[in-house]
Amino acid sequence: MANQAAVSNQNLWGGGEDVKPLGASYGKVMMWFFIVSDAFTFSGLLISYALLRVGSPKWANPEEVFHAFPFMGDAHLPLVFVGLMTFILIFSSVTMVLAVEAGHRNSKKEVIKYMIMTILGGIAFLSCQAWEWTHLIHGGTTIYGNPHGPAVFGQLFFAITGFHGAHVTSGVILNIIVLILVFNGYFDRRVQAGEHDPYELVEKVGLYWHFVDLVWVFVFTFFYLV
Amino acid sequence: MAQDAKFGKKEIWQVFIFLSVVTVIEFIIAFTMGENVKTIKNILFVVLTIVKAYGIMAYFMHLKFEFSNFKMTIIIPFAFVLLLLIALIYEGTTLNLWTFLK
Repeated sequence: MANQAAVSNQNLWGGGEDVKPLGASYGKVMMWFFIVSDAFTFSGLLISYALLRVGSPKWANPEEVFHAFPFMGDAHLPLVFVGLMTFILIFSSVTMVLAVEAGHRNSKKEVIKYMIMTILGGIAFLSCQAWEWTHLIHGGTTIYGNPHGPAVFGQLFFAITGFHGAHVTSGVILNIIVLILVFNGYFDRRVQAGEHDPYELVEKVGLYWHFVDLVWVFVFTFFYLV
Repeated sequence: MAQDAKFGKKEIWQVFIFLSVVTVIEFIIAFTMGENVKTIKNILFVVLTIVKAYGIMAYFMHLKFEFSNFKMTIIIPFAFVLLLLIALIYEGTTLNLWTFLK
């Protein structure tokens, strides 16, 4: 693959079994294309949020809305909980990269270790999000209205974080499937068959997981910070 | 894979520390800067978010080490997102949407 750069343009786009015009395998390219399309979907949601917020005379103050922390009762800890959630998701992204890196070295044990940590990180994030939703709904912030600002604030919040949460859930499920495949020796068979990149599926599912983290970084900024 | 260059465990943790530091800076900005510099705050938040996005896409998603034309295939479509963002924020400020809502 390293000498592809030396191949002339004509050969690069001339088709054929081992030619990769974009330099990456079909599966990886397709996962990236899906990620771009999904990014457009989230961009659509976030941009409509921008449109509605910029046009509104009154909006909620995030530091007033998001000030609770589990087990701390009525303590006023603005944005602390969401900071924890962001940290959990970024950390699970790191363990995912470590799993991919272990896959490149065909190290089955480490792949298992890091995949389990990533899955636990994802489940921890979803639990935090579930607590946040429950707490907000009990406090009166629902899709029908909220005590902090116009009703559309709550509607957008639940729609966007819900959509994101669905992606985290599907990401966790995909990670669990890949973990089961590792246990069952699917990747061992690929290593023995002399495949070029035996643990590529870990990398592809890792791309999806990083996309989920990336979206959260934007959601976190535009809902909680700005 | 020649294009993996030098991206082992140490570099991974370095990127993680970088992302964590940027997040902490964002929180510091959120809490220490006052209300009357809101626009500067927001600009800083957006810039830092783009920095984080670059860190995640380039290093965690490995995009920096891919072929150049593949990189462009992924990055250039986001020009459309940027256009939509600018267009709709402008529309939001001039359109009287709130006469239709609630």
